[in-house]
Amino acid sequence: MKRLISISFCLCLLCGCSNVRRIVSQNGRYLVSAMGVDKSESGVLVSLEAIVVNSQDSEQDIKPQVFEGQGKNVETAFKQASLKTAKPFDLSHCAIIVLGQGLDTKNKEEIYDFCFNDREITVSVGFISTESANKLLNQKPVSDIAVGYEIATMLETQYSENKISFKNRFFEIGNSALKGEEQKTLPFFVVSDKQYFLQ
Amino acid sequence: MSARTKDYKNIKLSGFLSDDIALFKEIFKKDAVFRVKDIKVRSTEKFDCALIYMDGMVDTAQLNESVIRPLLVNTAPNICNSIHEYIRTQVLFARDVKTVENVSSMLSGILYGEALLLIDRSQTALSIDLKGWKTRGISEPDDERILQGPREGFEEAAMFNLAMIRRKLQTPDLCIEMLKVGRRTATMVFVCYLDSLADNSMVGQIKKKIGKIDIDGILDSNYISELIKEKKYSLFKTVGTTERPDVVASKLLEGKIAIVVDGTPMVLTLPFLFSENFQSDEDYYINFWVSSVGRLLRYFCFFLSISIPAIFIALSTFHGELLPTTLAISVEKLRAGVPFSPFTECIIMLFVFEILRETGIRMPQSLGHALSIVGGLVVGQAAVDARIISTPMLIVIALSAISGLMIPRLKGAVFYLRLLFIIVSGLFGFYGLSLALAVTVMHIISLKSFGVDYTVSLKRADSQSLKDTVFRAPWFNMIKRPDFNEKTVRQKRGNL
Repeated sequence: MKRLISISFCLCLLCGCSNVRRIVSQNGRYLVSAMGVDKSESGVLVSLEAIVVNSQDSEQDIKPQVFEGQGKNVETAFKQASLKTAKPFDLSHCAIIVLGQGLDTKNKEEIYDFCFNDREITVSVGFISTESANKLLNQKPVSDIAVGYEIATMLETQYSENKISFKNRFFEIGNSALKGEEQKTLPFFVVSDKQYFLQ
Repeated sequence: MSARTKDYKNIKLSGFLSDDIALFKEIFKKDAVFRVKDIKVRSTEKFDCALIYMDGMVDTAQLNESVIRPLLVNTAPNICNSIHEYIRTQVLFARDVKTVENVSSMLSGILYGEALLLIDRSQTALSIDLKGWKTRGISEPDDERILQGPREGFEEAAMFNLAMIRRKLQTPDLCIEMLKVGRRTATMVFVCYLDSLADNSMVGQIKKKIGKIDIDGILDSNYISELIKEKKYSLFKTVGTTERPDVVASKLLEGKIAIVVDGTPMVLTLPFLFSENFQSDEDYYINFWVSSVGRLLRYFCFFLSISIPAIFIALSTFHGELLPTTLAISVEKLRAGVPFSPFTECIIMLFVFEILRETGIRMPQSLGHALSIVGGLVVGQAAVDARIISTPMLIVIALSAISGLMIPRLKGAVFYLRLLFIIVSGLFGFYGLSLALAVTVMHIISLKSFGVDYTVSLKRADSQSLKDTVFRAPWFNMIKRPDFNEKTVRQKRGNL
């Protein structure tokens, strides 16, 4: 038994402990469905589409809300957006990252770094481009609870119905970027008159 | 030292009836059920007898008909030197009459429901077996109910229990050895085994361990179980218990040893292996396909019962990304407004369930429906409506609790493991949970039951060993006995 306890103790010390996070209640976080990044005067504008659930809401009343933040880079803009809420953002269920037009290579690398360093963002998150990410995320979803999830479903439908593979997921794009290969064309979404569609 | 606590091992009767009666009266002077009946035997030479017994312990009708009546009716010849022998063999109708010489044996007999016949001018007495206390009778054990197969269960009197075992195993190979344990209760403990199958060294080891027990009293077999098991603080049972004679007979046929304790229907069987926790008595009486499904479900439910709340806590606290998005949103929505963290909520619900379960066991059966209404509606639905607890947690705890009920032999272990897993997963997430699981597996593997590896049946890769573990093979395929000792290994059940 003593051996067993000492082995368990050593295992605790030696591995995995760095991965431990503070206990945070799940209902104390905002689930982010999509993150958008646009070029702005002060650097970049980050728009976060979060699922806001209040204790008084019924299922039908769950609505997405867009939180914005500006900063020199993605990290500072994200922090700026975080200051506008009482609860932290949970990016583990972020389905889509929207890149606005006008972002240069440096900005894109910053976004990849942000995604890579933030352990919560999964490598299967999809990347799309549009004229203004903020404008796209502020649209009203038609078939899903959030624009981010609706876009992800639209892309999946294109793949399953028309066999169109966009190769726009983070592990595909990140791999190309690391190899220094040419940037692949991302699915482009057009926003017009309270609706958006894949071009 | 008072007359009651004095040691009478080497004391004999004086031969003077009045003095001997006075001795017993002195010993039992504070005992309201102690009885002395004077009898004058008709003889050419007048002599007296006295019948000593405990009221309620002897069968009164049998006492009157088999002892008092023959003594009063018969005329004894004038053979005073062997009068007790004459009475024993030719007068009394009782089936078991012994000649006893020392006072200690006489006292044991009186206290075990025998009547003692003291004869004037004789230093020996006759101990007449007239046990007549009431027993509960044979009934089906509540904890081991089955749909098919024998329904009889043990009762409190060890002699009847031994008879039930003997009736199933009609072979002179069945050995029943008696030991007396308990300084004040002098409880009879019987060690039963089949001589040609049981490991002699194990029998010796068990008898030695029981013989070493120094305790005031043994009122149930669990006293012995706790005192003789090897790893005394382990959560897992290494001594089996059953209330069914058919189960005891089947264990004896596997070369195991049974311990029958007087005063309790629970019979101990050992060695007890890990796989036995998942066996149901009914498994062998129904179709092997059906029983194999039950076995697999029990193993699965054991894992589910101890780990499902911990997995939910790990997912909702540390690894939210592993939940499907729609489920994550649903959980988020259902948890909205609940004031406690999933960990606190889980601990509260776990204890609420344990309270309900414990209450359900202890309360009269007629109140069971009321309890399920109060437990299910008030504690469950109303608590969810009032947002004291969340629906997902209620589902998780209910699932864990129901799964736990599938394996009643592990209920103690399941509760503590569930609690341990919840704590480690609340602190370290899946990392802590996998570590705790690894430690639990290591502990189970390290256990031994009387020198036999606890997981011996799961360790061996040969098909015969596995045929009665995670599934139950058909009888025509189970040729060998479980091979946990040298005597039982490679012995066939019969010619097939």
